[in-house]
Amino acid sequence: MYILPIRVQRIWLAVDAGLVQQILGQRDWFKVPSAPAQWPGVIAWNGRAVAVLDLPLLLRFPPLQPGIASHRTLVAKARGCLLAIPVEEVREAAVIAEGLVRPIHATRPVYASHELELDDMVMPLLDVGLVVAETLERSNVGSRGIGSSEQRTR
Amino acid sequence: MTKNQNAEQTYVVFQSESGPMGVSAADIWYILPAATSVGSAEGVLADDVPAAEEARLVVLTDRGGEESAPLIVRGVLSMITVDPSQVAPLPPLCISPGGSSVGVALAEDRVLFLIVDPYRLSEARAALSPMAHSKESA
Repeated sequence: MYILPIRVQRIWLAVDAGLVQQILGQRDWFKVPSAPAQWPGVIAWNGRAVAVLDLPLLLRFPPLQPGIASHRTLVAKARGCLLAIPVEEVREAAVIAEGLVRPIHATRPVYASHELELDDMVMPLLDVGLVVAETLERSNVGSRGIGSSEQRTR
Repeated sequence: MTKNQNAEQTYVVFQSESGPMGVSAADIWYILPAATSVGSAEGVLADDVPAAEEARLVVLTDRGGEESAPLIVRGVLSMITVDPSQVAPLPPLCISPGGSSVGVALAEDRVLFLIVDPYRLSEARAALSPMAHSKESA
């Protein structure tokens, strides 16, 4: 599989390169009040508003701040949703043999069930689809209301 | 009569803490230059009231026969007309229950302003206002 190594603060992660639509340079994002904390705002991209993922927040670093743009922004697509991921650094895509992607063991499992080794670094493989799915599931539960008899399933 | 989907849309844009917000001009009945009207209007928010000389009272059109609380906004108001192609819905990932943001006005790869539903915004603000709490507790 093709992966794209990205750096957030001091953490290196890998993203499935097949999900990435474009790598943008420094890009300001626009805060949306009342948006979920992990999706604090939007960027404009190809005539659309694309949700910004606060990856530092998920990794327990200080959250993104409006007006402070990261060096790069990935635009990715998962579960039918476009998302923008501000990061500090992106390295060139690399091919990883499927057998070298193994269940998570040495890294912090934040939205990652697998990890891989690249250039002597072990990095978690970020499951972007899981982040999106969880948010959509939460918002569906919320919109069904407190009295709903449907149970959240995992 | 059907609404012309290709018609340009005009928004009244004001500043909020998070950036510029726009309300469809079609939802606005009139705007008062507010210093005196702020004090006399009922149901307006008491928190977050800007300096009187900067405040504007936005009175909304009647929607569905129900009267909604007017909005108080701050600073300079501007009227911005955009092409429908410049208006994008808010991504589902950014939507939370009770939120008032519904869309975004774009210009190329830049966000111009956030489009809000003024009725939901006024409800949310009124619910937060000390005036509303004091009415509830009375």
